[in-house]
Amino acid sequence: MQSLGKKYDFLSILATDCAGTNFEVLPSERRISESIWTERGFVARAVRAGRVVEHSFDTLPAASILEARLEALFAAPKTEAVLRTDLSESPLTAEYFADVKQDPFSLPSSEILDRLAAIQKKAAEASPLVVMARSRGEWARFSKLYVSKERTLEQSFLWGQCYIFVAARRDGRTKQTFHAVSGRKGLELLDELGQFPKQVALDAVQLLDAQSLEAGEYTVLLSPDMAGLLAHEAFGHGVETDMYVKSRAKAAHFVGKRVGSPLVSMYDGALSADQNGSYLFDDEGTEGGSTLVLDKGILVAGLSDRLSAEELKIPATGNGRRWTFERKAYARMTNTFFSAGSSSFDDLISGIDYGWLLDRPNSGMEDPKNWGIQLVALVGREIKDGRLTGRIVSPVVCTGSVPDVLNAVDAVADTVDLRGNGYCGKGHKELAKVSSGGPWVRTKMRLG
Amino acid sequence: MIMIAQDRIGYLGSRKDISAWTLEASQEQAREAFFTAKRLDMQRSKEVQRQTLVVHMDKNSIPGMKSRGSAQVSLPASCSRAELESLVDTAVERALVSQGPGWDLPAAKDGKPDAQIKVLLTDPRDSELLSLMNTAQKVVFMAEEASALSAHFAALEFFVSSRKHHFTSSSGVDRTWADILLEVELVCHSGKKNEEAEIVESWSACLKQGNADDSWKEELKQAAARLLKRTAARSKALPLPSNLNVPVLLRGAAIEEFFSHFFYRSGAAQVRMGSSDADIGKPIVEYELGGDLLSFGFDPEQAFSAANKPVDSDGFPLERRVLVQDGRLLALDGPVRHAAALGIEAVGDCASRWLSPGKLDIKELKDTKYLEAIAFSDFFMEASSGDFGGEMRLAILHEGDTHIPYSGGSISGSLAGEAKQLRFSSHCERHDAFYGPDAVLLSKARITGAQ
Repeated sequence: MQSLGKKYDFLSILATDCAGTNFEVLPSERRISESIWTERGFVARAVRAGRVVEHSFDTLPAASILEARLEALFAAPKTEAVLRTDLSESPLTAEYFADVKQDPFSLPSSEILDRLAAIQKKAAEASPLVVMARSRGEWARFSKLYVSKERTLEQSFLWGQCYIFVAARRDGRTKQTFHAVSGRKGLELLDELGQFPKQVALDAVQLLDAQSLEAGEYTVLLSPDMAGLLAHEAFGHGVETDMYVKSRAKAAHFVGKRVGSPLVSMYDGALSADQNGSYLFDDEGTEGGSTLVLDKGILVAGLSDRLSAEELKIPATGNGRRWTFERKAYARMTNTFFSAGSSSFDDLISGIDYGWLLDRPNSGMEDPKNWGIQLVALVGREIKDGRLTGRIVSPVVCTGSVPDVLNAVDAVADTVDLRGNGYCGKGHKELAKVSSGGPWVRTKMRLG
Repeated sequence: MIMIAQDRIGYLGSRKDISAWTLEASQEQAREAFFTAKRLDMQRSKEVQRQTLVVHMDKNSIPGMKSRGSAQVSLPASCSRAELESLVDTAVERALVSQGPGWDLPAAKDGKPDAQIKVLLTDPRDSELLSLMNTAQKVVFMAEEASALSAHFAALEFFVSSRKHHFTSSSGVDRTWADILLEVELVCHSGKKNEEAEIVESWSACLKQGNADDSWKEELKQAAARLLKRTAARSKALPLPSNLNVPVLLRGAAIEEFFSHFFYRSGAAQVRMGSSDADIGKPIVEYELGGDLLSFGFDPEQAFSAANKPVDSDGFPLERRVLVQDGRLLALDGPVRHAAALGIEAVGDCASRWLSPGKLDIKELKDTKYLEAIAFSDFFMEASSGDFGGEMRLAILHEGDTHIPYSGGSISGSLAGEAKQLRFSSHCERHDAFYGPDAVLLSKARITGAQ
């Protein structure tokens, strides 16, 4: 920074040192492998005359070599470029170091495997129809240092995620399901997971009786996990402001307008919740925040990385995130959720004459430009006259127009639950660790 | 071209407490360019290395029965000798508490180290990567200019990486290879301002260093032109009607995902763990397969596939393999340890998949009313059960000379329901690491409208 800082209008360096471990117990096997989130390296961002370039590297070179790499990027090609007029930062020095109750890296690996094995065994023995049970725990520590002329920021924290997967088979039909727990927690996650193996196994067996659904529009009761997936795909990706500058988000034209029922409020932010999407600062050196995205159905604000915020002349919200130091930063979600309403679960289900309770999200996909949506639930449970009938369907493809689905919300439960398992992609790439959730939500969707 | 520092290999060789080890390294030099329409938004470059060590520790906890525990760690490019030793100690400690079947790493031929492959050998210069990226940009922009359609690229991302790979193991396997990976993300818009329809596609090609085959340019040009056409069609699309009961012709990138149920069932890991009950010599699925016969496998030298490599992560030498022939399972692929545990011959683990063409000529469908499902939000196949579905961003309903584009709505179904009359096209195309039919005819898929 001292050598090169004066040569550019702006220069920053982000250093990352992230290490994680997967512990896994499978039938006849115990394995330990490295987390996909493991990385160590640097990314330098330089700005000159409004042009922004970046170079990623994994060993600190001499300043002259880094300068040569940055100059090569400024040199070519001669083409019309997006110019940023003001990427200045306010001065800030801050640090954040977080511990967990039971540090997974302070215990012998054998103890973690033994605890996972006990969970796996309970699932495997729950039914003779169980053909595969697998338990997995992953913990990763993220350490990052951001340095620019005005800022020195440092953070180190740990998150974990644990799973139990079960497959059951009967008459040649195999169905799988899972349960997941997560958080900025250590081995205490195994205590949480330990409550579920038998239930997950029985759920997998029950899925063997799942039927197919008659396609149509139904009243649906979304579990907190499914509500989180809806929030994430609908107005999470839909309000990432780097999509605004590329004319890729319809939401850009709806700020201040109604896009959902007055019962729908939604937040995103590294500081909005204590979950796997939390941090002190993002990968561009902006402090994490808490953004009210939807306020009683009105679209209020988007989620910004620094570059799109500068172009749109809006505040950066601390959502500039990279998959790794090797990748570009984009506007990404952190902890995304619908906020609580005032109804109880019983109020929600008792108000349904006919519909489906949807749970166990499998996947989802955004369509920010055209406001389509796809959510896939592993389990649909039939509701008749306000009660579960016991009939189940699997899988369930849920589609609809985002504003139609959100405007149809007519009841929201009073307790919010977030989960930070899996990862989020921007399209089909650029993974980011996020959490999402919400309360139980009642709305209408097309199911198939 | 030896990328792994000899002192690291020497150190691992000196650790007599380790039963076996593999070390995989890659070195990448890359250029990236990001466009908003035709304006250059950002340029990036990178120079990185990755080294992954797997340590295997053999145990005889039950007399007469060897078992092996394994653990994997990354060795950062910047790690010191002291950190290297600490990381290896960590891997050893973890391997000792891991547990798996007894098996051996594949040995080098004749028990001697392989001769080094003579790949090219000088690193490509940054200017060569830049030149390749500029060529790719020109191909895409020219496709847009040549198109008479009211569609354009709203955003484009180009990634060009020169990659060198080195695999070495304690059993003497020592292989090096190099390639250049070109990836493009294309975001296409069409329609009235602020109400444009959008379709996003990605395209990639892995080029062999020194190979003059530039047919990738034509492939990229066609991919760009096809996307412009599809997006223009989506801009005119109507909401998919309800109560449509016609065959579905699945197209494009969804096809690899559709067949993933069969790939899953032919995996040695899935069979060993119990989530697949496929049996060598028997049909790949229990239900009856009809229509076109299913044959597939992998080919580590498949044209333009980024998954090509001479050895897998155990050092097993890869060659073209048939896993399923005419619906019958011939071999299970995957890591060597699973084959060892199952007592079957290992064939290795390679993601460059091929699937044989069927007999369906799409012209045959001329007199049939059918829905051509072209672009999905995210077509999914539940690999263990064969249940599938997805929301359609573009589908065209064909009936004679009438072709109506629709958007929204979804299809869903199960392979078991489709299997008896599963038909796929005689024409094949490549999607990244998959080469196979470009159309699959589904006669039982349920269609959910968007109205």
